[in-house]
Amino acid sequence: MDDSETPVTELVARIRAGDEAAARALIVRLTPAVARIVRANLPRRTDEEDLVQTVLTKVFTHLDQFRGVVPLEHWVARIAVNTCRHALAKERNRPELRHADLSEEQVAVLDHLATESSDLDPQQGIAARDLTSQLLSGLKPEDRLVITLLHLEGRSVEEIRDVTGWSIPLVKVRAFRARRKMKKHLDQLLKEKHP
Amino acid sequence: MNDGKTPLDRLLRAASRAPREDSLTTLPFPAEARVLAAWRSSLSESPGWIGLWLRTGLAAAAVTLALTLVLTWSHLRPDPEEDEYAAANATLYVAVAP
Repeated sequence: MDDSETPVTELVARIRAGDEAAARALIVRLTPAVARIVRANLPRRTDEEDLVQTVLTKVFTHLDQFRGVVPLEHWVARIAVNTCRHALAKERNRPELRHADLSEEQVAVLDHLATESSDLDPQQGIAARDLTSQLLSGLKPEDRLVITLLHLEGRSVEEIRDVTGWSIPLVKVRAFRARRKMKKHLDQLLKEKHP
Repeated sequence: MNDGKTPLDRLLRAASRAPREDSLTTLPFPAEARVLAAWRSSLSESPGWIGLWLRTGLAAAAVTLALTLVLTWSHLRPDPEEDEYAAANATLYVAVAP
């Protein structure tokens, strides 16, 4: 039986009754969304597949706690975000980024940011993303998470509240502080190149 | 005022527009098997009655503790009337006792 069109609520009910086919169908349904969240918040030296598996294991072993008050996808997103946050928290070593560590493309991005007031060229997008990722790795897990969700994934403050469980003022304060720290690191890199 | 033109804003904007590497779309079979195994194992554990049993035990222990504290406190509380007679009794006892 093909469960690709079966409503999620029905799949959950069947899984609770022990239906393995429904469990497989739900894994297929949830994997892309969980993988996207994990990819965006992946700690260094952590395998994406391992973390996706950890999230899905938590989802399935705690499915009896899902009350259906929010859509299953929101509940799963919250578990995924919290799992990534805990994995990031285990990363005690947060190396300070230095100009000498940057690739040529990343240096070109810095040059553009220092000398031009226009947006970066689309061709510089990947270097910009790598540089952003390196700057983020110097932040605390919560700071990294809020910047990723807000600025890189384009989620609203309300959506971040839903997936993290933080209040709206807390999301805003964390975003403000995280941006301030990131700006400080970026300014240091810019000063090294353009004193 | 932040007009979105600071270097950080421009960097974040460019990073968000960058093409993303493909993430997992399907879970590989070994990982799926491990998830299903953990799920089956959680079903057989039947945590429902164990949780209920533990919660009931914890509630009973809390009630017993509260009752014990109340009884102990009321027993140890000094009674002014008893103190009054105790002083007189002690005086008599000292005077009468050999």
